[in-house]
Amino acid sequence: MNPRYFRWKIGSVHALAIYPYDQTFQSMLYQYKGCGDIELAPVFLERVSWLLKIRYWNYYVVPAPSHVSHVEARGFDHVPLAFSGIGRKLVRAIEKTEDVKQSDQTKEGRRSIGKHLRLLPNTGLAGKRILFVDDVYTTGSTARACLKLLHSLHPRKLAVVVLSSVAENRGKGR
Amino acid sequence: MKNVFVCPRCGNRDPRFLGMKNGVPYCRRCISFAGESIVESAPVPKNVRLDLQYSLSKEQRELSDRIIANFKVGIDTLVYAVCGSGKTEISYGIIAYAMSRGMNVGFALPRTDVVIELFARLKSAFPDNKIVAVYGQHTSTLTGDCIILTTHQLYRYPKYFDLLVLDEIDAFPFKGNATLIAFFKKALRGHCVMMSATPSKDVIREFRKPNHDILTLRTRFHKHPIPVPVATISTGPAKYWLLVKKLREFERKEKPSLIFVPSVAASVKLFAFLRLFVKGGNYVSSKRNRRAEVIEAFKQGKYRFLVTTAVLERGVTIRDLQVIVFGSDDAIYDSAALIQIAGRAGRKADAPDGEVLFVADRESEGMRRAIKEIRYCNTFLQNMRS
Repeated sequence: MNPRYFRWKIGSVHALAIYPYDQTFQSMLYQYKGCGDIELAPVFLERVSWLLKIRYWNYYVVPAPSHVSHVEARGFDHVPLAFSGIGRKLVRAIEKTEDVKQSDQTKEGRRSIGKHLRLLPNTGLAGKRILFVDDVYTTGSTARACLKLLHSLHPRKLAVVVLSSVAENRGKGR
Repeated sequence: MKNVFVCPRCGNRDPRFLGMKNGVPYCRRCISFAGESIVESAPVPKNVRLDLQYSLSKEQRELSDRIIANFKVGIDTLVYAVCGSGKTEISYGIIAYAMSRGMNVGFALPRTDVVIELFARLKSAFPDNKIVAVYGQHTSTLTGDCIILTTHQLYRYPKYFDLLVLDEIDAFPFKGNATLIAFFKKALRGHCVMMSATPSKDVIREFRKPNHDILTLRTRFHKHPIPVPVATISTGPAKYWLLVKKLREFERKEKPSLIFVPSVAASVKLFAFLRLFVKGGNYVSSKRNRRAEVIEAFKQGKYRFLVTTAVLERGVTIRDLQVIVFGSDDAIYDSAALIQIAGRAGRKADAPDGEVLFVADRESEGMRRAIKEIRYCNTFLQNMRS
């Protein structure tokens, strides 16, 4: 997989995608997330982790949440594991309250993800630098809903990094 | 004694493919073969109607009967038949036989394109039976009277098939792939019929053992000789000039042509060059975005020529096709690959002659063997006629 960085903004927040959402990435992600191949976790950021470590060294990393039943079924929490080693500390500040999968939704269905997300109290993230991370940016519904929750913590800085984003959707203010 | 991890699904013993999840070992070689598998059900004899638009040749019928006879006494068969001999039609008999007895019947192929093509053919040949195609992204229906699937999908059917026909056994990705072969063996409950125009020595050795049989067919169904490839040795710019000349000749004669190149990169480069000199062409490769559309358009005659990689090496039948292998001395072209490529020409009874050109810097072993084997097959034809 060759990195092909893409930067855009979600509202006022800067976002970065590392890989194009091509066949190679899709099959790697399928084997990791869909089939549960935990050994692939370090591979995604292998060549670029040094960059992210430097850039976001003093950020707190908040991963897009997976429902507890999915984490149990898979055997691991795939987003935090792929991004391990980045930032100061990983804080699961957002939890998913329903075991809905974005990938099973229509475009409209995806938009209602906000209803199934909850910001956890007492995470100690108020006023801190926060980096939101996820595996794939498709419609941006998840990212926007999570960013909305994170805004309420009045972070000093807020940024987004995803492993990959679907080409057409980026940079259109979506 | 050291504990060796053996995967219960694919038999893998290689420790490099061993993964650990939460302290539990798992096999990484077959992990991507994940999905719904089939539930066993009782056999239901079916009514089978075989609707062939044409009749089989004497040789085809003989082979078909031998296969059925072998199957009845528990013998696995290898059909060693040349390209264009009508291998698929030869298997209709045994498929009909097994379906009528309510057995689980499968037809496996290494690639999706050929699965789709075969599905259409079998559906029209057996109009009253439930023919099902199973391949990547298309796995909603897994059962039917006869299941046509890619070898990849075999993992869904452990100990399921009473009859499994496997065509193009020497093709990528099936050939030499330990995981796919393991799933094939697991899926077979009864007996198999393997088919290939270019089986490897290992396969031939396997089928010389007891309870196995090898049936050969050296002639094409239309009884015309198989076009013998002509090796043209040329280097440098002269090679390209020769290619352009040939393509213009085919264009004048209004014959479609395929130009095979060894790599995806070569296909892009060669087409970029050719389009400056010859119109009405395109290129395909496994990495090409709309390759199914381009191939379909070519079949319908919208393109005069197609620069292609191994993607079109097998399975395609195009009337009056001319074939050029540009760089046939490349290491990727062993005699089996060249025979398959050459087999694209002269497949239709009304256009049995097609030019096959091997353009290379020198004559490779693969080229020599391919030409020799095709000439050898043609001698059978002469013997039959005399």
